[in-house]
Amino acid sequence: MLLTLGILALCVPYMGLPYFNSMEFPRLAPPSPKNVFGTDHLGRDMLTRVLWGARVSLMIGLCAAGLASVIGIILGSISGYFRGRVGTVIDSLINVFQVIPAFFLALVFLVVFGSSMYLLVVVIAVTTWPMIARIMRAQVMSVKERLFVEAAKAVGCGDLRVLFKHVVPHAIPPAIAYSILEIGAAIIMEAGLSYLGLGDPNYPSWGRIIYEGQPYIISAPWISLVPGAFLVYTIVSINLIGNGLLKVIAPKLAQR
Amino acid sequence: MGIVGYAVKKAVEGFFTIIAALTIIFFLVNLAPGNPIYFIAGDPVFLSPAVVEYYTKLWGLDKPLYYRYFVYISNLLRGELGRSYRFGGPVAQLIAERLPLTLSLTITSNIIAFVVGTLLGLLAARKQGRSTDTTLTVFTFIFNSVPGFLLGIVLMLVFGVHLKLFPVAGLMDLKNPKTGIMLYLDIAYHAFLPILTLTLILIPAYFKTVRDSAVQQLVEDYVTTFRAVGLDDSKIFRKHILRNVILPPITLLAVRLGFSLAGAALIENVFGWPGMGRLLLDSIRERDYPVLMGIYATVVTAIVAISKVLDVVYGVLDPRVKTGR
Repeated sequence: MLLTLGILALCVPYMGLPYFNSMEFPRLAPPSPKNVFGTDHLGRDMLTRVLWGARVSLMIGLCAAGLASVIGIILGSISGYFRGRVGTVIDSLINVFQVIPAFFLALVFLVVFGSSMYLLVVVIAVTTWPMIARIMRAQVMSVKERLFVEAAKAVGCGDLRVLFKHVVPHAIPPAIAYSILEIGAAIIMEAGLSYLGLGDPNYPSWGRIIYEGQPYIISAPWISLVPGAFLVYTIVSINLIGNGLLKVIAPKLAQR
Repeated sequence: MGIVGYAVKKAVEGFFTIIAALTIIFFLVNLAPGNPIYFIAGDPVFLSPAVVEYYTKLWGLDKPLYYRYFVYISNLLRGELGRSYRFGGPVAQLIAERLPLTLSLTITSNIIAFVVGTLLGLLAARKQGRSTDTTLTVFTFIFNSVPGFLLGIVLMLVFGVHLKLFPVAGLMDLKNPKTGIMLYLDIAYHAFLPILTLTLILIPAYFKTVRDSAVQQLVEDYVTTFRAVGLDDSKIFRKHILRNVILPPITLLAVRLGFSLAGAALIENVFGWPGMGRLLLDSIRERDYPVLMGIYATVVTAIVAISKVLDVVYGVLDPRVKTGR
């Protein structure tokens, strides 16, 4: 399911569709053979916009989740392995971020620094990494008690080498599964932020299109509903993949 | 460590967490480029320097950053949230006006979602593997993936625009205002769709928690014993399994209530509900920083307080929690 969407998103530029910002059609035209999903208030073809939106939304989701997992995995491993002062500092950082509603913080960030696609990615990553860090920390803490770790230490491996060469590879699978779920969460968050008009105005993401369709919701509901359907479809498939992986990798975590 | 010591420890932890969270937002907002005066009053070209100077002084923007930071924190500790840039009135009063409206949405929907989610979860566990279970699981899975604001839009279109069963937006009927008890009924009528949206979005989490832990309980020895003794299933579920699975969803409820102070913002925006979320979005748009930070402080304090109280309650209920992991 997701794959088709991904391929579509990759191929949009080469499919001979009208440019996503070109305004060559009648305004607010309902779906018809010529414009399969209708057109929006500026006469832009919705099919093109939704497919371009797939590109933007998926990319933001992937990048943000990727960045969040990198931060989360690194900080989580360090705090799980070094239980001393460093661990405490990272722990309290995680705790603080956990009580701040991520969406709230992201909102403030975007308003304060203006909005662009890159900033969206960074903001979503910065506000969502603690979840992954917590899982990684718990994993590292349990893996580091195992015998082979002690063996590695006995042979004289340095702390960092033990951590990243021996402990992390064993501890990482559940964090990876969570990162996949995180992609869905990131896409939802991007959609929410864009829906409030805080997205990147230059590129159509799904949330952005929904936001632009809002004033015409009664006369031209397809503008908001089509990207909405794509959004739900994508997130359902991402969650299915993530949950499936989680069940295989870490049945205990999946049950929560 | 005694329970009092534990409670004190948690309170201190909570206090520092709040301060840290507030520090982050303070520096974020104050290091922001642009002078808030220009956002509110307009282009500096049209402003007389005297006005700008007056407001800079009034809002304390002429003081150095660290000074403002200490003033801000000490004011907060005294419960003083400052004055709104836009309205000039105290922030605390603005929040107090909007808070009940948001709470009426979030508390209602959380409680409905808690009850419905728990019941459905138990039902699914009882019919485990059968079509009821599968249907419920699939439905909650889908609702779990739908962004709240989108569901809100869809419900608004279906019930508000096409079926005309419920009003599309707003707090009350402004064309023919009601009085007395009818006013409250009118507000409840307008609140129906936002509450429905929130409830549908919240149910999956409760459902999943309850179903999964009930399924785990089913294979426990005591259930087998009761079944062997001849107790019927509905009684086992009502009297025994319910007791064993009710804690996690209660925890969830408490945590959710904390977060829901801010979490309903998007849905309030869809339905034009004048609660805290709307106040938040407006103040963000208008760069009304004192209001923004006031809401933030309220929300964070609520979340931290709830989670620390939960910690202590668990410490009382289950002494193992205290000694830790």
